[in-house]
Amino acid sequence: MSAKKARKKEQPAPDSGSPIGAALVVGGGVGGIQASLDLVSLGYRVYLTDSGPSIGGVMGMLDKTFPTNECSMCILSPKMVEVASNDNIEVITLADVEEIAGEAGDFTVTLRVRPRYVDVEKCTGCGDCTAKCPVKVPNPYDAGLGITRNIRVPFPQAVPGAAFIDPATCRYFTKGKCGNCVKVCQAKAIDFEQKEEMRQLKVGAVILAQGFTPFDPRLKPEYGYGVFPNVITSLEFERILGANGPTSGHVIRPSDGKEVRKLAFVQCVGSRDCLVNRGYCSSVCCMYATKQSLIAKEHLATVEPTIFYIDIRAYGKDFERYYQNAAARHGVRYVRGLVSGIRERQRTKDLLLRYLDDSGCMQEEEFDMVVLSIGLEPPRGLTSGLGVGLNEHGFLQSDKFQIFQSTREGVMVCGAAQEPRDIPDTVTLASAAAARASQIIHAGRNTLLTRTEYPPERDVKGEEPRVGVIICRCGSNIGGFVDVPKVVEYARTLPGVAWAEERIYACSQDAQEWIRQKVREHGLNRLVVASCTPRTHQPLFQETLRTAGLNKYLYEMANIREHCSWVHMQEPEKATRKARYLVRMAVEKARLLEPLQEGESEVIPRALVLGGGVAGMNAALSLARSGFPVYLVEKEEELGGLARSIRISQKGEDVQAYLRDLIGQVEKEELISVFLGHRVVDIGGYVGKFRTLVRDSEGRESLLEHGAIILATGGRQHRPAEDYLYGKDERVITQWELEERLEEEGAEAPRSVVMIQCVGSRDDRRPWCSKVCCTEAVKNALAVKERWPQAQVYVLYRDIRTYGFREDLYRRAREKGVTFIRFADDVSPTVNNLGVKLQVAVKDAALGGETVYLDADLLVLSVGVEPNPDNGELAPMLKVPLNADGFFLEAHMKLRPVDFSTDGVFLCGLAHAPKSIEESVAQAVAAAARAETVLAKDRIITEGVVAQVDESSCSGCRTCVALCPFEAITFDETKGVARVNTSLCKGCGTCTAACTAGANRIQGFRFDQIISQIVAASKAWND
Amino acid sequence: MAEANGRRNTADEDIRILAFLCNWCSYAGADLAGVSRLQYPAQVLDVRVMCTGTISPYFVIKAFQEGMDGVIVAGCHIGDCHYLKGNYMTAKRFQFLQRALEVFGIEKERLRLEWVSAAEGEKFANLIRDFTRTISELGPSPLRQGRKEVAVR
Amino acid sequence: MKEKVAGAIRQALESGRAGAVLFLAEEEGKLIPRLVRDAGDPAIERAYVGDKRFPASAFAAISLPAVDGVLAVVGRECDRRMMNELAKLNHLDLERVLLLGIPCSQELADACGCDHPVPPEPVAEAEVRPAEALDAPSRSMDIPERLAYWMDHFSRCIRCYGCRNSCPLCVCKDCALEREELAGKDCFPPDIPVFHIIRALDMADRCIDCGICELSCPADIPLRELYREVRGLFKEHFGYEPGISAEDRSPLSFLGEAADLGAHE
Repeated sequence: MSAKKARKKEQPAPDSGSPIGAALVVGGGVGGIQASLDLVSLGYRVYLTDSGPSIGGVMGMLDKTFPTNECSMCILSPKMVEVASNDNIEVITLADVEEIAGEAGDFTVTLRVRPRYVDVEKCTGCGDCTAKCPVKVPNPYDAGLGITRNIRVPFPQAVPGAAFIDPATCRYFTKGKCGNCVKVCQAKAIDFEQKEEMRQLKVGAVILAQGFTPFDPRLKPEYGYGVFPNVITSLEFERILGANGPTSGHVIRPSDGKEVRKLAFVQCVGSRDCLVNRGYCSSVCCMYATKQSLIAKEHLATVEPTIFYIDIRAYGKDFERYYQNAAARHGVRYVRGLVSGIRERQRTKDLLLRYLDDSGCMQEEEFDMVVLSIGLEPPRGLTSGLGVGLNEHGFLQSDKFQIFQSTREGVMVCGAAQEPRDIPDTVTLASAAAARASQIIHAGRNTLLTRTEYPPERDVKGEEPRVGVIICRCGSNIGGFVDVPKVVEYARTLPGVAWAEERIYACSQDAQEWIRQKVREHGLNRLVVASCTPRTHQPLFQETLRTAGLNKYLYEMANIREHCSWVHMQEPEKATRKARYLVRMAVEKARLLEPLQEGESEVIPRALVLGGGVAGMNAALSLARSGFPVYLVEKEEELGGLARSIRISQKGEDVQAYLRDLIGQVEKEELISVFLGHRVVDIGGYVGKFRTLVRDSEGRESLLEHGAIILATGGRQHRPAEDYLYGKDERVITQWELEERLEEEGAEAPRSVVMIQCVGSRDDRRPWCSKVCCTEAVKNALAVKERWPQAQVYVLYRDIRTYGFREDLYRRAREKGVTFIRFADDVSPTVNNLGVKLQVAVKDAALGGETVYLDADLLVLSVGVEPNPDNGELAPMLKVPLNADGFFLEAHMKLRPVDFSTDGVFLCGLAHAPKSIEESVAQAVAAAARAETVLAKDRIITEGVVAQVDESSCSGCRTCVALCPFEAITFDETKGVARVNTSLCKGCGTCTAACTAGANRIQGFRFDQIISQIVAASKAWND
Repeated sequence: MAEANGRRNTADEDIRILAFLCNWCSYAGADLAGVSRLQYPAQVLDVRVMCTGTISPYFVIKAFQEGMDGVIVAGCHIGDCHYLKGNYMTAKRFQFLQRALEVFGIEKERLRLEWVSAAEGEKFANLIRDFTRTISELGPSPLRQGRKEVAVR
Repeated sequence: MKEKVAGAIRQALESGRAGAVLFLAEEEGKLIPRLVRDAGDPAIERAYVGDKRFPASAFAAISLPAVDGVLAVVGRECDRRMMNELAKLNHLDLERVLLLGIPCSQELADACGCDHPVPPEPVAEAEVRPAEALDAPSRSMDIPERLAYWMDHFSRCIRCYGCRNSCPLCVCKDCALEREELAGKDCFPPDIPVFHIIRALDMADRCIDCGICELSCPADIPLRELYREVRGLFKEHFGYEPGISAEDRSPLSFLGEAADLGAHE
């Protein structure tokens, strides 16, 4: 920490006239963190404020994330550390925005910064003060469930990792005496004299990412929250599930600490509820209740979770599969029913839940504990001083198509402050907001940055290996199952180990300084961290190594969590033994590590956007407006893509007008070169330097050179092959065809319109939810009612998934008399052609499955979205994967939603998954931001893990030349040896395994290094 | 520990399995097994490589020489390779090696080639369970007996 | 036979088809490889046509840089196959070599278990039948027996590298057999002597079954049986047999499908 502080400079004065190359990000949750990291990569200085004492937001409190059940802190913490260690991001905690004056490009922001009473520069986060603090307070990090002391580091991975004092409960401030903390603090960091201060910042753009406030369930007194101890909120339950939470992950209830067997989730508490003035859907509760049920069962197999719901809204990518698995394979019980009240048995504190079941009968059931799935509401004081508008629900108002744009130019919004949303959507919007900011301030790019100066790399050649080993406890994640001291002891006996110690969280910010200190103290020249997976944490520790003056490749990881403590939880002895073995393997390899040099390559500051639909055009425009030329390639002869068939957006906007305007902007934009009627033939090269061959229908080819690729090739509408007489009877149409008919003058008024949902979605062949069809149906039902008020409209559905503010449409539709009939999953409606009319038969779930017959003049099919059939052809050219459904698969479902794992290639729109137009736009602009982070660099640092040919051993057989998947190896005829182009080499090592002479070596995974691991495994076993 | 079926247990305990996992799919699948807390036998140690294409048949032979009872090579599904076609080579090399092992007198079941994606935590756990069972049925590798410093428990 | 070979050598030189000819000559009771450029060279008279063998192709690869134009080589069918393999390894330019093929005697063919004793277009016709395949004792053994069989043989190895040194297709500059981490350094013979297994795997798509390795082995390890079993399996598995042609490629030397990639248990 101090290393960074020492390097931090005052903000240089910007040139007058051009926009200020700095931005303010308000709110340090995952949205704010992503926006900050993107902005700084784009070349802007960033101020990141949070009203609390640390960044991290609600995501930092979550145990796991859906639908991959990944550890939330594990994926967030590296990003927090990245923020903390970046010289060009200043984190300002305990700060609120007082005023934003000025205009886009030149804002003056006034911050009110509350005193921390602890000097962040001096505090080491050692915790001595906390130990001596006499004041016990409920721990806000544990949602108030656990007890902590008044002076404390907010949570182990906090950034900044310094303590703070809450003056409202501090004995010194309330009673004028105490000061224990001052006495014990050896760093002399405590400062009661700190005063609130006003700070002014000059920035060119502002991104609002204040997140949400959880609904207060006391407003629903019938659920007894705050009265019955065993009724808790979902956020509190999240902490109970957390291994670092108040019960260390034991699923026990507050009243008596008894293990929970019967567990109920009550959905929509503070959502879809006009009685408490929260008419919107909170979008995430169905999924988090499912996740919490699964995790609870994982922690305690005897738990029987029941989720009481109205509709299960599993609308996102892979959500439906997650939900279906939870129900079918993990024993999560889903009960459709509205819970009307909860009573408590006084003696046992058990809870009686009354609910209206599917058939309208009142039922009562007893539970040990009830979790209220509380909704998301806008933070209080959301707009004060910001000069931006709010919508009718009190969230930040945004543009209809550009949902990341607030009502004030230069001020962007992201995350749940704009509408309730999940992590990937928040991250997407954050990147989009950063791109929008860049459009405004790009003339000030790189003007206010300070460059990170790493200490010179120590030359370790010739030194005997001195390996440092850290065994991470990861709270109880490792420490709870592996005897960590024993592993440390073993590590100390291994050859080459100069130092070994354990640490509660090796990834926390203070641990990084500790590591640097140990490297110096013990003259370490290799580092092994035995903790979690290198796939997420290796970069963090490598960065620490660099700041400690060592080459970052002198680092090896032993994964004793994912591959050990978590998978051998019932066998602590074996887990401990295995951890020792894994550590030995890592140490033996570490001894053979050598410093590697990273290459540099130039960047062609131009992008290729594949697909000229709404997503592709938005991505192209965003990049062009930030100053980068773009090739826009569309296979059809005109721009517009799928949106050409859509009349009205979900928000009621005229899509065709929007599209005409968008196409006009693209055509006008000088930096965009459009290639209509072109297909991609071949893509070569690598990040920074791609070469793409495109061909038009007459066979003319163009070779395009560019530094990044955005894939926006879209999806397509499912063609109902004769389902429900589609194509056979002209009265059977799709929603889009209905929209056309609604616009037709003189169209005949139908007496009865029947809509069928989930046609080509959520079935065996297409197991995903198409996300948009429910809203489309509801919107069109309203339009039918508008145009032909006499018409009867029936919507036959399974779950109505009008998430977020779309719920308003659903409610309005019901108010207008649209009839919604739910059919059981396994029994789709059937259609009979009776000549003059169509007759639809449906088993009505509300009538106990009784068949209802509906006459239809129009039968409207809500058809789903399908992946583009071309995807299979494009994926290998781009070297990117598809998921099981045939959509493109991003690098990380939560935190890298628009990136591919192939560097320099990004993803947006329907190619990723079904979504609405405005979501496609947001994703497109987010992808543009991510591409811009590549293009904005002058050069790219290439990996050190590449193949290398030892010329003296190479026999010149050329086998490796033929085997390289990236054509990175050429044959040097004069020397008669193979040669590797390190810019093209991806380090797969296919060549090395083919080289019988061992002349071709993959750095970091050398032959002798892997053999050393094999031998180490054997030695460990023989010990 | 020498109870009724103690013999079998001892054999199980002593089974030594080495798994070569590719970084992008199978290692990630093993990570997912961990994140999902799927429990599987602890007698497997893993070596991370960037791509299974980098795994030389030498490593497998070396592992047997070093007294491993079974070796797993797990990578991305064909078509999913992060490096496009690295795993095509893996398929060719190790499908052949499985059969070649028999020529040398090593049961081909002791080498398992499997495709495990990043999303297949369950498949990974099942692979380890199943392979551990296979190997304990085969018993310790006879090559291990040949070592001078045979580890006798 | 001898005259026919000598005649072919002279003819190759006189006609200008070859700039030089390489052959084994019998000099004072010893067999010595000779490289002649002149049709009148008296060594041509002493050209050897008996059953002794030498890796002519390997010598050809060595001599080639010293020759202008084409080098003709007096050799057997094995030599033709070696040349094809050396060409694939980029160690011999087939455009610049010409085989003056000689048939093997029936005795040699039988001793070699050779099914191809006569090369295409031999300098002299001969009636030689393809021989029965040699006995492979390990084939009929069960797996544990087989392991014991090999380990027993391998443990006699004295690490003289004779097998490798005589192999015409061992072109690596650094040899796996000498890799400390693989084959051990201090213990001799190594505890589990696996390096012959490693060599057999490396040679699986290269070995043309000339058997010179086994001739060179002072410890009588049945190397030929080992390599023959592995290359036989390779042929069965991939349908590829090294040496037959210079054009086909080993499936292990190009990316992409060759084996059934998806199906395995």
